[in-house]
Amino acid sequence: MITIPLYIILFIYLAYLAVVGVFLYVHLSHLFHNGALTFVSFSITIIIFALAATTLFFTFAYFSNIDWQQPLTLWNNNWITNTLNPSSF
Amino acid sequence: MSIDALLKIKNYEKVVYILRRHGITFFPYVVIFLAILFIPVAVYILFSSAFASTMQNPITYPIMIIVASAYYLSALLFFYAFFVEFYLDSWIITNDRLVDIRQISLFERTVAEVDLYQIQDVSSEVHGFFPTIFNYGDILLQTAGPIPKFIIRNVHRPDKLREVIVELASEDKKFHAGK
Repeated sequence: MITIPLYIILFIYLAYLAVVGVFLYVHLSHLFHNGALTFVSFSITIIIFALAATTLFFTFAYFSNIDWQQPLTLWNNNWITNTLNPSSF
Repeated sequence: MSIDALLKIKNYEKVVYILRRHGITFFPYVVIFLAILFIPVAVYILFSSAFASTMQNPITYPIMIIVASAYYLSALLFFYAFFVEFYLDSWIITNDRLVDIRQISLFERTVAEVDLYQIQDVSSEVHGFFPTIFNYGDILLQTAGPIPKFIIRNVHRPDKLREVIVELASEDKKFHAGK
C-alpha cells in the first residue's frame, strides 16, 4: 500500500499558485513594457487580480477545517486482489 | 513605458493614431470565459445529490476544493493571456511611419515598420454581418519597402483611417521630395 500525507497535495497546489503568479506577472509586464497600460487594460487587470484574490480567499477559507495529516492512499494491492477474486464476479 | 519611448520617436515625429482591433472582436472570448466559469456551478447543481457524500469525505473534499480552485485560476490566467495578446496587437501611425506590433503568443512578438512615403496603395475592406453593423474591417497597404504588404486587421472605421493614411503618406512624400 502506498500512502502520502494529504499536505503533499497542498504543496503541489502551492507550486501551481507560484506558476500562475509568474505568468500573471509576465502578462502584466508585457502590458507595461509595450506602453499598453491604458484605462481599459488596467481595468481588466484589476478585475482579473480581484477575481484571483477572491478565488484564493474562498479556497483558503475552505481549507481552514481540513486535517492535512490524513493519509491519502495512492495504491492499494487489495484493489487488484479484490477485483480478481472470483467471488466478486 | 510610454509609446514615445518604445518607438524612439524622433523630434519631428508625432503619434497620430494608436490602433487596436475593435473591442467587439474580443466578445467571443468573454462569452467562452463566462461559460467556463459557470460549468462547475452547473455540474454541481445537476449532480448535487452525488456530491453530498463526496463533500463529507475528509480526503475527497480538500482535493475537490483544490481542483476547483486550480480550475478557476487557470480560467482567469487563460482569459488574461488572450486579453494581453489581443491588446498588444497594435498599429501605431505617426506622421512619418506606420509600426505594426503583433503579439503572436506570450513569448513571441514581431514588430515591423514602414515609412509612410513608401506606401503605394491603400484599400479598406468590410466583410460580413458584424463588421458591417459595428463598422470595423481591414486596411491593406501595398508598400515599396522591404515588407511589400501590411494588413491592419479589424480596426474601427477602416474607411476613415484609409483616408487619413493616404493624406499622411502624401504629406510625407512631399516632405521627402523636398529634402
